[in-house]
Amino acid sequence: MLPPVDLLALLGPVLLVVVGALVTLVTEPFLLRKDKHAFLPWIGVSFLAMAGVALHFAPPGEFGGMFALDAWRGALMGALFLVAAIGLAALQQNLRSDDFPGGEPYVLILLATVGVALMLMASHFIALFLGMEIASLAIYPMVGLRRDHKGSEEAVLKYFSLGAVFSAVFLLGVAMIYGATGSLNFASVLIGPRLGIFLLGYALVTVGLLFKLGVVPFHFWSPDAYAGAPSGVVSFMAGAVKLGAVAVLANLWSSHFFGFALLYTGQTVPGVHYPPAPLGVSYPLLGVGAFPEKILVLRAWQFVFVYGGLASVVIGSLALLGQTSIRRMMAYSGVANAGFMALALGIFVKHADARYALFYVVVYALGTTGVLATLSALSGRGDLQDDMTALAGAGRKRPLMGLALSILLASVAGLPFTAGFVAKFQLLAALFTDGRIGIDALGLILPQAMVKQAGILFPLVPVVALVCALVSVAGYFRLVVAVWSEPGTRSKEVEAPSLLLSATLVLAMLAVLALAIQPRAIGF
Amino acid sequence: MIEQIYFAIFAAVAVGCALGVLVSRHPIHGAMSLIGVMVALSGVYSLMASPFLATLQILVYAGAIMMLVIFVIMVLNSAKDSSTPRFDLHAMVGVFPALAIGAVITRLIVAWDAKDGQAVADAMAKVPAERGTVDAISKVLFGGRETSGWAILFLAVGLLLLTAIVGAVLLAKRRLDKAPADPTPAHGGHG
Repeated sequence: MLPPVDLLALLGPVLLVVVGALVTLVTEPFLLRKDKHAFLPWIGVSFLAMAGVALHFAPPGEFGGMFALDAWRGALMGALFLVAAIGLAALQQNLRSDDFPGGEPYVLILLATVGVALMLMASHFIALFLGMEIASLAIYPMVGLRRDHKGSEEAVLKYFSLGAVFSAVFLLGVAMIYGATGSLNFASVLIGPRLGIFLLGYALVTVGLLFKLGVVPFHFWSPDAYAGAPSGVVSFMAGAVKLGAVAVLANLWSSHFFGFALLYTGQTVPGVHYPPAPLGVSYPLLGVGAFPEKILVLRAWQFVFVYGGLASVVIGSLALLGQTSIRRMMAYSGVANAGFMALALGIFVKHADARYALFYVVVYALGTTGVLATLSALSGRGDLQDDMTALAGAGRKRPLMGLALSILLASVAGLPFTAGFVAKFQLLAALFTDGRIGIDALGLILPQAMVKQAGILFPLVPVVALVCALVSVAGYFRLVVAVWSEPGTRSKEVEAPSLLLSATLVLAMLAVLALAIQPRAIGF
Repeated sequence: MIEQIYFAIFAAVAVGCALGVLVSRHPIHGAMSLIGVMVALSGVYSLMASPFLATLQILVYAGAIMMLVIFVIMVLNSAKDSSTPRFDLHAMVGVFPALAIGAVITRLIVAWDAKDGQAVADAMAKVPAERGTVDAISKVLFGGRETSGWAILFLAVGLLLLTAIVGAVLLAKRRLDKAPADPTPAHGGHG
């Protein structure tokens, strides 16, 4: 359990980003059109840097049962601030080459960062929902930034309407959980006979979050939304939203399972809740409750995470092979990696060990944000050269961007010497160690006797995941080869990356390489 | 007793108006029926000793949201449309969720027994009696250190609205900026 701490100390980093957003917002009208893209991102990044420093000194603890900060939440938030800085830089590159007339997108990136930070810190449903909505409402208009471009309207319409529907689904689930527990805190105690309504609510909340994560079968929006949005916006949302969603799913699972277990210890007072526990740490009583539905609940969520995850890995890895648009390819890569994260959450459900999921999402967020940020420099005005043939030779003209793309893409693919390798290797090793996870997850459908006797026939889940991970490397490799190959007939002049973009991408590369050597630095 | 009579009235109005939403041909009539549902629900909330929620129900739903719905109907000129059939094959998609929710509610009613009711009533008796009033809510929001988490969330709502405004400005301003260069509207007449 986390100790209560002062509000300002706890929320200080987030408040600094809020101040950054407000300063950017009020500075914007006073700048000349050509100066907007030169100054505003720097204001935002300097506040993000201050927030990062404040985060370093922020004490672990909780406030009012609503917000909490601990080692993992701190690591995720640090990654979020770096993702936001890269996003600002990539958006600067986009908007400058598009000659965009306003500076509001920078404000929206900072506000979305605040929203995701609230999601990460939340241990209360209202705080979580507000964070989610601040992030979503900031990202929707940015997806539709280029409304005169082909595909942009489709992207924003699909993303907005589906996002609104799933927000409503999430909220309905929250209402049911409130009805079942009498409290909106994550770790609240069930009122006796309201078990069914609680489980239904929990299912709806999880569906709402799986949509944010983009796990099959809730992934249909992502290729179209990614392909229609500016690459800078895609780079930010691909990393930030997944950071928030994975943290919340892990947090909810451990907290709620705890409240569920408490039902059988005879505590059924509505409105009672427990202080938030550190993220990734199960509540002390988690293993205690030998209650009848324990197996059922575990199996149900294992099934969702393991088989939803496996389907995402298969569909994402195979679909990314055939894409020519880089943003579309990275969207399917996002689906595949969201699948790996869901598999890691399946391990969390079974073994109460969230490290695999949390480390994976940090590494993935840095990698994918960086790759898409290089694209904002390489694909030119309006992201029109966003395909394999047009990008041919781009790396030779801009070696730093090519290098960043190669290293970060290697990390997304999970090749050795990058943090992505550590994340994927550890996850697959954990899956192989527990070869029964796939069979056990089927316990809801198959008869118990069959599941018990099945033994470790064949570690289906990890083998399929491993094969898909290897197959997807081929798709990523095509892009790296294209970027370093001879310039083709369709390649054009590549604009110079801004100083901010180069600097943030170097930071991302260093982070990805450093985490490969020392994953313990963020608690893995 | 008087409460039950009032409940019967509000319930009848709510169900009647909900049917009105379903069967009325004219979109405006449907919207007006929906306002009836909202007002009747607000009456039910007051019966459940939640005057704050009842007021908000009227202010937010019957006032703001339904006004917006009617505004949209007017803007889209569909107020004149009374020829589109209200039920077709697409509308049948809605039958399944309706049946599912109906099944859940029926199941809950059938499964209800007095013992459960007593357990819930006992549990609810431990909740502080004063809730749902404006007093209680203002104390929760601004009542000092131990509850000030809610005040922060209240501020976060402000941030949410700011985000929505900035987003709206972003989507709208671009049009104005483009207007001098390209006087002909790019995307049709209105919207």
